Amino acid sequence: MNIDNSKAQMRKGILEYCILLILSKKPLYASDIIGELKDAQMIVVEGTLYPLLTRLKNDGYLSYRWEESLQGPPRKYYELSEAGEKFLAELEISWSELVIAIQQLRTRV
Amino acid sequence: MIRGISPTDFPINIEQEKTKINNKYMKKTLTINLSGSVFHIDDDAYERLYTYLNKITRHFGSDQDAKEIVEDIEARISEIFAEKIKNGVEVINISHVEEVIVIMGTPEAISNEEEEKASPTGKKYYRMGGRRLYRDPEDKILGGVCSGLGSYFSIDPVIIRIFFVLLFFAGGSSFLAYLILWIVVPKANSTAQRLEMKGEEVNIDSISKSIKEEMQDVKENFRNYRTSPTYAHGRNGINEVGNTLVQVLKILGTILLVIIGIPFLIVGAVALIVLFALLFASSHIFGALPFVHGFNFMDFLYTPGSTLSWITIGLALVIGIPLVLLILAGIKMIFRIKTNNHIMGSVFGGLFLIGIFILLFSGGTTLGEFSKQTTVTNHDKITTSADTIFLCAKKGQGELDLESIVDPDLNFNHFKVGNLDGKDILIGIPELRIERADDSEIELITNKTSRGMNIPSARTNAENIQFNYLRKDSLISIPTSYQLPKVWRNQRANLKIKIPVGKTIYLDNSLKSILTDVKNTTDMYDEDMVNKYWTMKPEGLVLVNRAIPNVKPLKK
Repeated sequence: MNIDNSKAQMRKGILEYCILLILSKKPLYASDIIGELKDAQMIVVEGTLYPLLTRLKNDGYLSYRWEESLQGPPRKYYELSEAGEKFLAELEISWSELVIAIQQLRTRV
Repeated sequence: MIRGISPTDFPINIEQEKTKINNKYMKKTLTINLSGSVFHIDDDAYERLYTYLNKITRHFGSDQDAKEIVEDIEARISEIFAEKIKNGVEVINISHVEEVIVIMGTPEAISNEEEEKASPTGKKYYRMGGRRLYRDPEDKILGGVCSGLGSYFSIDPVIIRIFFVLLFFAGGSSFLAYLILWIVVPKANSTAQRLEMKGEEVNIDSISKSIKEEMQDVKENFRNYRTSPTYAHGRNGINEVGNTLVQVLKILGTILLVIIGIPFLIVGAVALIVLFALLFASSHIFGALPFVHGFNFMDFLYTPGSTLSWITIGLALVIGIPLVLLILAGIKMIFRIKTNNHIMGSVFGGLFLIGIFILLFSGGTTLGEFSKQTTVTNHDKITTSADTIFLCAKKGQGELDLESIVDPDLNFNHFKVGNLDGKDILIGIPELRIERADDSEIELITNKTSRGMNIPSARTNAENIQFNYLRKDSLISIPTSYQLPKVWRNQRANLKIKIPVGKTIYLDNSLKSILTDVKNTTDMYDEDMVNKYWTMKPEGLVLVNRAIPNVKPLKK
């Protein structure tokens, strides 16, 4: 058992949830999402995010539109689709359950 | 501004300083277009970036999704570079690229953070040209072999399926091929494997491209080595050289594997077909093959009734399994499949052992049928006033001319193989010996020999041999062949004729094939002794010149 590995496994499990959570506030482009995830110490390397975004998009939970930017080429702005919002709601419940479960285990005498 | 050199700088290594100047102040730059933005980039930085992006591309594969991912990553890198330019950087250099790589992550770092969707072992193998042979579980009728082959060769799987079915009706060999592929080709379970399955098409372009990429890696390693401190120290450099060597060897190895794998596959497949043809020659599937004769000796080893020949099954397993393994090894080498399937190994090992047991057991049983040998002898003394005895072949044996149905290609020691009404029969060839009699009587000694489980059964087998001569006065007709019963137990028959001194014999031409070791004073070979008169003298048979008679064989 490797402690770093275990931590990484935990983070992996909730990465999807985090992305959906970040995008539920407002549409963002990849760099913004990365910034938030990095602040939350959810990811270390940015390359991880792109396959996830593509998969969530292909599964219909996310959609994106191109927006012109003041500096440089146009950017992909991702936002939650209707399915994505339902998915997020499910994950919210699931997360709450997890938190309660852990809480119970922690406070058990 | 020209950099001044203070006296304290001495002594310095002039050579080293020169290299530094070359590296630091005189670099070639390239102009690149990264995701729609133009950048100036140092030559070495460009190569680093190029290699990195190649690795990323190979990591994600090359289908539509992967393309999108790589494009997004490129866009992000472009953005980071644009930021640098905004902050006053004019040329992207190697440290900027290294920085970007740390931010974006190496393929290894990315796969560490990704969800567990890749192969269960966490290992990834990259194939030359990016495509690997897998079975496609999402488009399958049996095992997904055809759709996997379709993906690999960029052919519609339906065409391959039709091909397999046609081949199946044409001879059944495709069924075997399908089974082998089913066993040896791994299923594309993970996303990574599915990407590899549908990966970049394998053609000359993609192969040369991937070789270029490999060479790029080699070059890079070499450069790293040259600039590394180990180069200056000349120590611990073996590792670096080793890495470079390993990559060169990897390329050579890939090519070598295919070159070795193809003969493995061909030799194994041909040997397997021949083996099956030999073992199951009586079945019609293989009988049509031109190079295999439709004679199955196995049929004659078993007592009638035990049609299912265990020895055949045993032989098929014991010889067949190593051949199958040879084919598997060939396929693995050609398609660079890496499987370490322990279950498959134990199944094959188990079958092989079962085959050996079957062989030992049934071989032992069959050998037991040969354990005893008995000879049945019949003495026949004849008295004749005739001075000359005429010996000739007995033709036809009443109903059948055995020699006319003999297969000239199949010639064993004591028997030949003939074909009667579409069935193979064994035809025994007797021996005819002529010796000097000790007394004044002509004696005909018939020996019939056979093997059997025990003495009585060997005796029965011997008595069943239909080898009987006919005599009328001074004419003796001897069969030159006889039909062996269905079960072969090494039956033999011979006739010894003892001629008293003073008598003359005539050997007809028809006896040519059965005369065996007949001693004569002229030391003539057996086949030359026919059509001649021989007189028995105390010293042996002596050639006599007489007119050749017209001898007619006796008929029943």
